[in-house]
Amino acid sequence: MFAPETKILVVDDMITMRKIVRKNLSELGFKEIKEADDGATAWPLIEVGIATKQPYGLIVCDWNMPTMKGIDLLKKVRAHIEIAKTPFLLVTAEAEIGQISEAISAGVSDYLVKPFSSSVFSSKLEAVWKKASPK
Amino acid sequence: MNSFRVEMTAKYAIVRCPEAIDGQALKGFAPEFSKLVKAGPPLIVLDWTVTRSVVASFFRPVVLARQALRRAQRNLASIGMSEEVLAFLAKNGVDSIFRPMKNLEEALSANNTTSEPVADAVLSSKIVDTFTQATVKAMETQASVKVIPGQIIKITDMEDEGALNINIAGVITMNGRTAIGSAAICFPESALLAIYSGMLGEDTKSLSPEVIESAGELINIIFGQAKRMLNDDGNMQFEKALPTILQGKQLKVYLFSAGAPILIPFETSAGPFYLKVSIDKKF
Repeated sequence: MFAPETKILVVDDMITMRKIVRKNLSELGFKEIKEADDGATAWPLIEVGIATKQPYGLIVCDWNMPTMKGIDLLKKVRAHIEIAKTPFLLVTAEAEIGQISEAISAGVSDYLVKPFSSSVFSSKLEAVWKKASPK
Repeated sequence: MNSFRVEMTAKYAIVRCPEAIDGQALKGFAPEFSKLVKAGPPLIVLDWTVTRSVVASFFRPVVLARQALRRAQRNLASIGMSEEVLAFLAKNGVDSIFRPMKNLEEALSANNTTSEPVADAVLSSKIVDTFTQATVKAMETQASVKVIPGQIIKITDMEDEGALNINIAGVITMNGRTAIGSAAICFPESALLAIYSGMLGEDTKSLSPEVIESAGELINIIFGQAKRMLNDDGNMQFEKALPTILQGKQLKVYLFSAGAPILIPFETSAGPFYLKVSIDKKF
């Protein structure tokens, strides 16, 4: 599993969902949690992480947001050479087949469909970690 | 002059809309429009030829007019809409309410050939079941709150809604390939506080902006699931949408759809909440 000191960025336009994700992360022992309310506000935080050599070790991001959707933030992260491999968990209320294919093509680590329980959240995080870990 | 003008024939009434449909123009036209809806010819045609702008407060009287006309086996259509006006209506998810047509001939022909599509046929038991299941799952999984769906209520008299004591509602517009509608999750304060407490695992006793916002997240989750089931299994092809939130005392939630809305009550240990849905065929 991710180390407790992993720097995590939670991106969602809904405060409620950011709080739910934060609560789940805190219960799993994570303390370094930052929040942004859409892709556009998340990106400068990610850039600061790159500039200070303290990049985020995990991004948990909503799909449907008014300014820069999750899929667009994912593409931006994957296109940046220094952070291209950042584990990225996309959270969505919809998850139709076409949407899942688009996320996979864009290089998502995994996706989490709302509504979700704490145990599903934990197992998704575990799956993202396994995928990101060197074989 | 920036006002509406009505021309009557036995088969239809043409309402010539002004260049700018603003608050003042609407105020002057409201009594005449109301009379026309209550007792007029079978078809009301809104002529938008000179109209360049329209305020959103025009949507509600037209939604209510469509519902009233439908009950009376009558209809409404629009002609002469500019691309800008049409785009504005589409952006607000109400374009199909106005039934845009190419010209008067098409409007008359559509009115003769289409026996009124009945909303009940569109709002089938499958759709109702889908939304009911999605609501139960959202509440039980995300908030750990046990909910029991009740008997569906058809809302024909909007005045009754005040008695439900709704304080907060999350509303989402559903725009699909073959259908259009709205869904709203409507909460009395006590039910939302209990559900929010369940979602965050903390005892919340008063309404804060965050609690109110959670109604938007909940309708988002419910619509997301319902949309997946309906799109995978049907041909509605609903698009993504962002929710809006309403707050007030004894709220009456109007849905932007010509279909007759239904209300699904859900019982929780903290009292009831309601899901209101209206879906109509897209013209």
